[in-house]
Amino acid sequence: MTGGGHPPFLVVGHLSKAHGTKGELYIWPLTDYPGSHFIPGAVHLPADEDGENPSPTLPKLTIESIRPYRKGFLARFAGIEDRTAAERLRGLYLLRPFDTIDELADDEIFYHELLGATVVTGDGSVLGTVKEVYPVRPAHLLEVTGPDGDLLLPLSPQVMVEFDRERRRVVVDPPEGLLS
Amino acid sequence: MPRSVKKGPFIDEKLLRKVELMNARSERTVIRTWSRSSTISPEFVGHTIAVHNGNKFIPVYISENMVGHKLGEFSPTRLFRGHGGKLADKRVRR
Repeated sequence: MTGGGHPPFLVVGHLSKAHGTKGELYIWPLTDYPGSHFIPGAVHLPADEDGENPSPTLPKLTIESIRPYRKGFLARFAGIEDRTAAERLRGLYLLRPFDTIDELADDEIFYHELLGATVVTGDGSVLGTVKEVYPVRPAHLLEVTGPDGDLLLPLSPQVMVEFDRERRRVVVDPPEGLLS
Repeated sequence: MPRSVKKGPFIDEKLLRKVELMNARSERTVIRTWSRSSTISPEFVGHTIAVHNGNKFIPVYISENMVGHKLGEFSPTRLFRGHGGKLADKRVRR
């Protein structure tokens, strides 16, 4: 993690499969701002299946051309000219340095900041730690693991009162009956 | 074919009774229900309803723009954990 508590790299996409015979790859976007990362000239660092650190053996990937396709993008990278070369990249994650990631809006929180954060109620009692964040409508769901088992909490403004970034604490005000 | 207008929207009787009782008492307790097919009526707005998804109860805070939809629409039966490990550029909006 960097000084601000963030990791040095974030995953922005996954190279799901090769497409066609001219070296195109299908990118499944793993970012809320694909328009900032999937543009010609953007440089991506390939990472292995863990998706945490850039691969020391693979070169950087520069997007030459890109177009939307289904729910993702079809991209051509510099130096990848045919399907055989594209197949070698299949399954890799695309990383970008944290300083190239769009800044957070005032009301935004990264998933990685929430994962592992302590969930407490307004009176200070600890409910547990955040195990998973589910992107569902109308509000994201937090899965909290605590001494009394797993618990689901909606991330609505009515329930989530405060997020303390420094102490990695989520203060919640659950309505009566939600914790039982 | 859509439901007959003459019948009106389907709402589980017991669920509606509970909500109306809580509205009369100005209470805001979470109500658990299995009735995913119940239509959200304006009386539900402001309540948190825990809707069963076949495995567990998913708490759903009812807002105005959810009126007319079914409760089950907001309680997914498959919770997708997502790709990209823990470090994807994904954000939550408060």
